[in-house]
Amino acid sequence: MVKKGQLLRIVGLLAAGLLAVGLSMTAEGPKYGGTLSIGITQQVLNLDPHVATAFSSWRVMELIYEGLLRFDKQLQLQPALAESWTVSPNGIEYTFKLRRGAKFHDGSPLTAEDVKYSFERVLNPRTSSPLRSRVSAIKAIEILSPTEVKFVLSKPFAPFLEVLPLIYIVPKNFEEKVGDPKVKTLGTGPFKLAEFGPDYVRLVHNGDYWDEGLPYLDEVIIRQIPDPSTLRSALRTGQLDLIFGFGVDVTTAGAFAGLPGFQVISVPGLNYSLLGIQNTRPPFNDVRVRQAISLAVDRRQIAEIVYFGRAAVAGPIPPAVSKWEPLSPSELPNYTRDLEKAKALLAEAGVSNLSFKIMPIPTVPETIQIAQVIQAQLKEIGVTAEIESVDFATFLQRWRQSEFDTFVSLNSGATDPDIHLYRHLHTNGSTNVFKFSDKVVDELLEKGRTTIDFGARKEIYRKLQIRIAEQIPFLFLTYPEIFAVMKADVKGFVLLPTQSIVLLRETWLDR
Amino acid sequence: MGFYIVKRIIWLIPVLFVISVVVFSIVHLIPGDPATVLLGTEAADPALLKAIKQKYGLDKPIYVQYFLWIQRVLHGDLGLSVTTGRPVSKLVAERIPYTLELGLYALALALLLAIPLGTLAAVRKNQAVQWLFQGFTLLGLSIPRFWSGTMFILLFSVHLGWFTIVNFPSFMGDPLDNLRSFFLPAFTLALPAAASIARITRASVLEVSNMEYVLTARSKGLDERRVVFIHMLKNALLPVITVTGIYAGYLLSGTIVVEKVFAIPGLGRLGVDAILQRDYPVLQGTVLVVVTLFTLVNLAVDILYVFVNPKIRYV
Repeated sequence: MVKKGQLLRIVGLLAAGLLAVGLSMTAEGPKYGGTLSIGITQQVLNLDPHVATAFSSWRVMELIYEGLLRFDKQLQLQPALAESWTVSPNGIEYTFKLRRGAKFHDGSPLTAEDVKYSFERVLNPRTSSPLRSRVSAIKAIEILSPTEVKFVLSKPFAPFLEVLPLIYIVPKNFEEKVGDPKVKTLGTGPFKLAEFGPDYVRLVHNGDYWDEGLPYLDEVIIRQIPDPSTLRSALRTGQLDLIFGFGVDVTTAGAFAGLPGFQVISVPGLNYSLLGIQNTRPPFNDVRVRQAISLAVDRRQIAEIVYFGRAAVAGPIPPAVSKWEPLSPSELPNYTRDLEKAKALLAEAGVSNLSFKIMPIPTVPETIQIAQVIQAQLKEIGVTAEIESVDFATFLQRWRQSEFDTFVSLNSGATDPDIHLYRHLHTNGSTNVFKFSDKVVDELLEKGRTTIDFGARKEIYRKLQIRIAEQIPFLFLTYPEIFAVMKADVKGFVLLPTQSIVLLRETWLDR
Repeated sequence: MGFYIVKRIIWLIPVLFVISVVVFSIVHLIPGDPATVLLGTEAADPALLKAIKQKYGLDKPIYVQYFLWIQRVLHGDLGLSVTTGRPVSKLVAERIPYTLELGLYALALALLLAIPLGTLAAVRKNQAVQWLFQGFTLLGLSIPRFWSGTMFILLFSVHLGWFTIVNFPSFMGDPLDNLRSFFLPAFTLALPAAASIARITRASVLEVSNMEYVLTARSKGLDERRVVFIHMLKNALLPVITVTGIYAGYLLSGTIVVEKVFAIPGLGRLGVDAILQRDYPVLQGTVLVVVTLFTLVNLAVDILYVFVNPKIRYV
């Protein structure tokens, strides 16, 4: 027989136990505090928000600085340092109302002067900002009040809003204030720079952040671990909480899939692999030869062999930005493999025993694999492709000077088709190393950037996609998925298709 | 002997001058330039490229660039990094402690392993010891460090959990923790050197063991341990010191691979990153510092040799 006292005690214990379980289950809200350690394979070089170009620099800067607008998970524009905005019907004037309560990390409030200064710094040729061409449509910046600023464009520039998340706002007289903007920062973002070590960056919580309640984390450490296999081991041994970026690919995802205590996330990417062609070099100056190469390449096989199926096969517009209704390969000419047609086109162009070189990027192993797959596929129509191995700096030099037959590389994509395509395909495009020039493409690109109506723009880019597929200035190949691996207790982290980790502001640790 | 040392030090000046010219030329002879790499495939605007080149003086003729550089170097200024914009002397100073500690630690481990092993293999003639010794030296010499390093991480850190990786606390803060975190990289770096020094030790001990003074020591009834450690080893160590001096220099170059595998922010990694990015000032600065260290180590060994081996009389 169990005595009454004992029974009561047991019931009491059980109740307490149940209550404890219940409490832990209801405690679903985000927890504050903790340090998140992130590992990437690349070195953080430079933190000047208007000058730095490296992937690693962007990942750090986007936690410290903010633009007038930001992208959310769905890549939709959301207000950031601008609370609201209006666009004049002719697409020339953009007026922004600035966020009340937004402060720089030194405590000074955000004003219209700061916004004007930031854009002028980007536009100033002495800054040598790679972002300059993206905002060169700005004719004047007018300060309407301390919290209102108006941009006047020289002509309509449809992707103007899409550029804004990349133009970070710094305080007026930024350079005098921080001294050296490459190593010192002064932004409004959820985290502040605490330490810039030889191979790591330490960021701390900004207690004054305008978006109240955010961020949850106390500290973020971004550490460079150059060897991908060491990077994986460091996550396994618990020295890191999160890894992503170069070196964290489908193989890494496979190694951690199903491993208890870890979670793997992936999103469709905006970046794409391509086979670049020098369009003025014979026989590539004959469109039929370019079409034949495109018809001989099996993009699906590249996705299977190089990316284990974790890449989308697509044309000129990334499948991740569905609102632009990207055409699938089956809807595009020359994007579905047809060896007979390819051979016929080569014969028609009078080209036999075609042989040329493919130059992959030596530091990006997947470009070498893609080159090998293409080499094998082209053999089937009697074309000999020789893989040419050069080092990264040489690759870039030859790329810049259009000294190649063909090359394989990865291009960073964008949410707006104008930003995505104009620089590569317009005759005067800043990265048109293909030396491609087509009147119809130029006209469509110009029309696309000066038309404001979304429906009309969509129709322009539908025509453009087909024209590009007919002309084959280069081969769009695959849009690989991007991956991140993290510990199971990292919550609320989302990777954007742009590879951005800006949502770290909403990430918390369940510890 | 004092004269000999002074002469050796004076000789350093022309050596370092020639090195500076060679370093500068090689760095500028490799194709590609920092401005191009800096912009990557994101921009190809020629005006932007020109502006960056101008900013870092890369538009001047190469010999002008050399004289400007050497002039600043003589004033202790190694210039500014093109990619990070930070002073090279600061970058180098930040990273030297890691590389020096790694090198010295590895050297100590190599000697601690090699001398007892080599001596044991020379003295004990049984089959098991010989097999073990041959196995150790063969593997030590032939396994490349990027592979052994990765395997050690997988075995000792991921599976057994004995060592942490990636995190390197300062020696001043916590010496024991520091030595523990540097153990795997130092061991990886030490292995080939240990194998080589062990072989030299064994050969050298074997050679002296046939000497008449060893026979004399034994015949006067000395304890075998005393014979081995005092009479044989002391004389056998001369060639070992020479080889160790050479290896001290090689260990510096070995850190490049080990620093990458173990994610140590040392000089080697600084140099490799600088090559990839064509960051001329950083590359020149790093190579100059490493080469100077190498020459100084050589000088130290040469001087030490005179002290250890009184038979050799220089000038």
